[in-house]
Amino acid sequence: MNRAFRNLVALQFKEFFREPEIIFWAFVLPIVLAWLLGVAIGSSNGLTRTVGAVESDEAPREYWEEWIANAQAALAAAAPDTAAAGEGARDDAGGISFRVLSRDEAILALKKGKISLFVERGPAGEGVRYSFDPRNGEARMTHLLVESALGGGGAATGNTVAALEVQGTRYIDYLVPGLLAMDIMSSVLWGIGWVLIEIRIKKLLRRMAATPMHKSMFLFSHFTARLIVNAIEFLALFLFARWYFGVRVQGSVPALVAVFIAGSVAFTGIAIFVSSRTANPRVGNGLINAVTFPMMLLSGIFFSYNQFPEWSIKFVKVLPLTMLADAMRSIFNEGAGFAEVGVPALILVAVGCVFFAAGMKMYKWY
Amino acid sequence: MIRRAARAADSAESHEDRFVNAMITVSNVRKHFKDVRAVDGVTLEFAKGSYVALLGPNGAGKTTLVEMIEGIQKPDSGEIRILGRGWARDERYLRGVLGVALQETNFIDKITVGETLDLFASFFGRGRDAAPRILELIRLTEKRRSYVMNLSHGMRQRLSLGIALINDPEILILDEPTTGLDPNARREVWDVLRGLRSRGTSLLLTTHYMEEAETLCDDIVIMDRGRVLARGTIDELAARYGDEARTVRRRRESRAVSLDDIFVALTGRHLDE
Repeated sequence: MNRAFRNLVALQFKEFFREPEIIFWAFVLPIVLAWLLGVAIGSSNGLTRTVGAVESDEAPREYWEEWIANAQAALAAAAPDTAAAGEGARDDAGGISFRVLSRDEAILALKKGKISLFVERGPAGEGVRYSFDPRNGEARMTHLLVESALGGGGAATGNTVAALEVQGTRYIDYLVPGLLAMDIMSSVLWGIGWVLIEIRIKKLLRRMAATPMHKSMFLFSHFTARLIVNAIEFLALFLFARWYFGVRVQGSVPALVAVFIAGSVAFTGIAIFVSSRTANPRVGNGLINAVTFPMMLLSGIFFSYNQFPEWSIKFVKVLPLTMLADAMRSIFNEGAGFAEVGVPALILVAVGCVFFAAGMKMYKWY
Repeated sequence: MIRRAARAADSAESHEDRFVNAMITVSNVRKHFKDVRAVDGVTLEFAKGSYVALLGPNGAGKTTLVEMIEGIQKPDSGEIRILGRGWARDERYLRGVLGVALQETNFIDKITVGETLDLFASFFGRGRDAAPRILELIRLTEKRRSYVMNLSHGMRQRLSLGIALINDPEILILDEPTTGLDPNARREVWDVLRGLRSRGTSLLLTTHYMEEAETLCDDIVIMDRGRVLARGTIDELAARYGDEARTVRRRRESRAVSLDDIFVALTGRHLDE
């Protein structure tokens, strides 16, 4: 390997590990965030919640359609805004909608965050049984809203609750792949985008460019160093989640590695594009925040984007962070492999290449 | 009248013999930023092995001119050739033979002096022995393990000079290498530069210190408002502009005509204005 390249890679590490604050933001914060949200989750977000109704021989579709009609009428009556509007029962009465699904479909929908709980017909003489992760505040809230609208309390309705502990259906199973994806985005955009802007601000970039240094090698050294740092951050957070919460990778590990690299490529391209012109720290900071914040909020990291309005979901799904988080979630929770995540991984690489090419076209070296 | 005469001197008729073996040729180069003419039709030629000072106040166009020579900025028009080659075709070759110190560079705070020099040495394909050799030359060997953030301003300037020298350049271009340094630190830089003469290195430096130009350089170019006003050795300039300079000297009640007097006579203002 070229000595200049080795030196450039080593330079990134030296600078990284000589700043204790950076280590805090890179390693400690994601773990603290995972612990906080994994242990203390639970607040309503006011968006549409979806409940799955599991059809079976004992409870065919017709049974659930009647049950859902009752529930929606009760929810509409309990929700003053809907009642005042004179709309009566509707699909998302009281902010809650229902979908009739098979049990497998319900489990998958739960893993994808499309529903937060499902109901099944209980044993003879009982009402329905709600199944959800009791640590998921969102699911608990949805259960309470439906139950209180139907007549208040499990004893009165004869309905029961079953704690769902199936691997991949807990909130932490949903959260951890999202956090890992978000970590890749933040780490690359700040670790490459911001660092390049800072080097330009210091006028060091033009000094380096005034040597025979290969410019593409210079950028590749940043990507290489960041990929290694990201891998360490990824492993640290994953091992913690595995040890503390029992989070497992149910799908293909090589596919996970490929998605990790594809995500890093995508965000490196975006980072180089974002850093291509500015030499102003405030502008640079604003640009990076403008890219990262919307994705952090919209890409379903902390709660499912399926709760957003229908029209917005198709836009949310093409965001690089959404593609990365969804691909990682499907590997972690749904047992996906290359066949399932190959296309999103290739799209992520393409996104990175397009942004990289555009960034290089207008890159301000001097 | 003096300025008109100076502009005529722009063509530097008395230097033709020197420039047969040209280090740098600048032909009718212009550069403007919005409505400011930073460099306005400059033509110059420097011989190999010469030590040249570009002298002028702030805003004279010195930095813009040297950055165009360094290939960092592109001229709007005109041509620049270094050792007979142009930036468009021979960028990598030229980057290898030039040593440059920009007017302002901030190195990475928590990288040591030795690591910084070794990094730049590797850009030029130089071995690990390059950095210690340069550390000795710029007298920073004792600081090789110090972070850049812990260096004084003078030491940082010497580090910047060291980086410019890391590839044993044929041509050294320094943009205000001693600005902001105290007299002792300035003399330390001068000592290093004087020592390079014996190696055959050519030097082009910009400065607004008269003493620096007088002490180090045998060829002085006076610039103001993007144009070359005069060019020559101190003796040539004194002979050519002596009368006007003596008027200045009388006003200043000093005994001998200095480069400072010549500059004031040519531009009507002092270098630090």
